Amino acid sequence: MSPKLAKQRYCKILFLSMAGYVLSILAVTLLTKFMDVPFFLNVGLAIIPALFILWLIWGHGRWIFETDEYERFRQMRGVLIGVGGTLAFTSVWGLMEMLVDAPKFPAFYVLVVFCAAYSFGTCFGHLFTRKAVVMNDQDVI
Amino acid sequence: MLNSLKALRAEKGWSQAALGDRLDISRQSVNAIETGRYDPSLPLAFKIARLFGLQIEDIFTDAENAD
Repeated sequence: MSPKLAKQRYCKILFLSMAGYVLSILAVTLLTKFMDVPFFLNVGLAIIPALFILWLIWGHGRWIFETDEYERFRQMRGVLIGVGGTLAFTSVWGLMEMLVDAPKFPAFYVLVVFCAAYSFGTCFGHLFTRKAVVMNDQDVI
Repeated sequence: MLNSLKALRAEKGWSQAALGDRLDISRQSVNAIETGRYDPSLPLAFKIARLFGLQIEDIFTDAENAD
């Protein structure tokens, strides 16, 4: 598949899933605030917005597989930096929660932290790669 | 790795986007290969070589043996 077509497919999913997420969050918030909803229905309603996020994650993953190899390389480098950043943040914050009573970090925001670190990694990942190449050259010398 | 992709593309009078369309990759990818920021995979290197009717080693040169 051409990278252009892959990006078009991804953008379509991005806009639809985010629109669905915003609308479902509004609908579920209003429903649970103004109506007396039974517990099990409440659980079901709470999952609906999450389904749109899962759809977006699936679409993003599909785009990474369908795009060309250079873009995939950039994205995977971003993912590595994103995972590293997320693990570092959650480990440090988790220890602070445990040892110094830091405020509880909601699990939902782990995705937000990952997205921020992933974006940083995609934009600035080449700086880390260049450094690695220089280090390899020094090793050879 | 060094390469002569930019010169070969100029000979044909193609833009980066036009070359990208022929190789089924993005303009950004062509730019990254031309400027040496990205070394293409072997299948893509073969595709580039086929497109210009050359051998891979006519286009790509190992930087250590560039002399």
